[in-house]
Amino acid sequence: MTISAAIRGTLTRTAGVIALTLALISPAGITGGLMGQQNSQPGQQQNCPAQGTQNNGQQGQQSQEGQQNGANNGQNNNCNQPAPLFGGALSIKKSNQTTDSAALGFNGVDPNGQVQQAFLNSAPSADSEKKAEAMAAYRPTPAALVTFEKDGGLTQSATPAAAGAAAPNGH
Amino acid sequence: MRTLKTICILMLAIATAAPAFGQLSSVMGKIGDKVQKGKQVLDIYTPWTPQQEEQVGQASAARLINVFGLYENSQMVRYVNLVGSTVAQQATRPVPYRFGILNTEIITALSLPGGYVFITRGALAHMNSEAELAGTLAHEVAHVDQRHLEKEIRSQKQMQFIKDQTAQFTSGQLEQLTSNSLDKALSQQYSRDKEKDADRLGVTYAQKAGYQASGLRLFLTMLSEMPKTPETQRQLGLWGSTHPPLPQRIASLEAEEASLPAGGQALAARFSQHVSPANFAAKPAEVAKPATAQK
Repeated sequence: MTISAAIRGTLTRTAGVIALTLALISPAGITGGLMGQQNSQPGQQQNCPAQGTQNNGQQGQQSQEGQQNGANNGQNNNCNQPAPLFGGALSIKKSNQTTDSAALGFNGVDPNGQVQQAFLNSAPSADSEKKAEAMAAYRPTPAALVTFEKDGGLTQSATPAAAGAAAPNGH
Repeated sequence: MRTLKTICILMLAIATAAPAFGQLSSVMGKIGDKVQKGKQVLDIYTPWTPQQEEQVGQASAARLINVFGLYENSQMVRYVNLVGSTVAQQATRPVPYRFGILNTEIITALSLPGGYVFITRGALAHMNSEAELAGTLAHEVAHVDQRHLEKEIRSQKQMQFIKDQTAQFTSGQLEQLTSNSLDKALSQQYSRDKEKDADRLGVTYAQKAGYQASGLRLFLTMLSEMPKTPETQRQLGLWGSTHPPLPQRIASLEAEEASLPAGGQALAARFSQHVSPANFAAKPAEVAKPATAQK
């Protein structure tokens, strides 16, 4: 019992010391340190006024900017707030734009015009799968094709080589 | 005494036979290796079934669409499909070709197994006539027709698990094939022979369909004359990494055209009517599903 009481007393004292230390250093120490780490992450803004400049430099990700601007504006209005820790990775989900206005840029490619592996490796969304299915099902009817060729003066020299090439759903 | 003699004979027989057994198992092992190699060669040269092509093509297309998005302008999609189907009729295999517009400013065109052919919004914006579009799509149709991508994938060692007897690929196989297809299509060049083959056949398909044979060459010439800026580097980066140098191709296409009958349609006016760069600017996308337009 005596040993147990001694241990309990030591633990209580240690806890008290830790609590006091934390209370003293937390405002500028621990929290400040974490914020500093966040701000120094690559791809995140060091300070608020620089954000606009950085976005201008990312011409190729205009499409992503369309969706990211909302979040960035939020940060601009609240410069003292720490940047989200994992904000940089969110753009992976934003390469797929479907509207003209939002996608007047280079979806998913780096400044050298190469497709970013992160985008390529990400699993397709249900929407993308639906679009692929819709694409698979779409084929001009033979009648529409004949009209199109005739209108363009293409039919005279055209000699189909593979019968059924344009037949709906036919292999 | 007699038992001892029998045991001795048996031991002698075993001692003599052991090396022979060893040799036999070595020979059997070598035969097994040869059979395995033969199977692998068979896998390399056995083409995928239409169902397998479709499976790989659609799964890869979904991933590609996931990266770039589709440009969903039903009128333009229909037009590109009509042009593509016109040249695809000249191909030798009855593949169900379908053509999509990828919603990106980069300039490229690519094809996937099963007849999935894509052209980018950026490429369309830099074309001047239907013959140029036809020539570009015909080049991609030729890649599909000749199973170029499929052959390159099948020749890869890690892909040799695929057996021709399988009606459909398993999800694991499909995942691996999709990754390989896209990696090949987006970051690697076909062999020079395959590219030359696709250029030659593409020009022929376009010409036989009634277009000017010079379409693809004129488009490539325009690309080669674009100013070298960071913007164009980004637009053409993918094209450059997946196709041979433009001057080589232009020269080779010129030679090819010389062997074909002159004439054919350019259809610049019809192209402008359907594909105007102005259509690409800040116009809300039409949400009509292509599938509902015509089946």
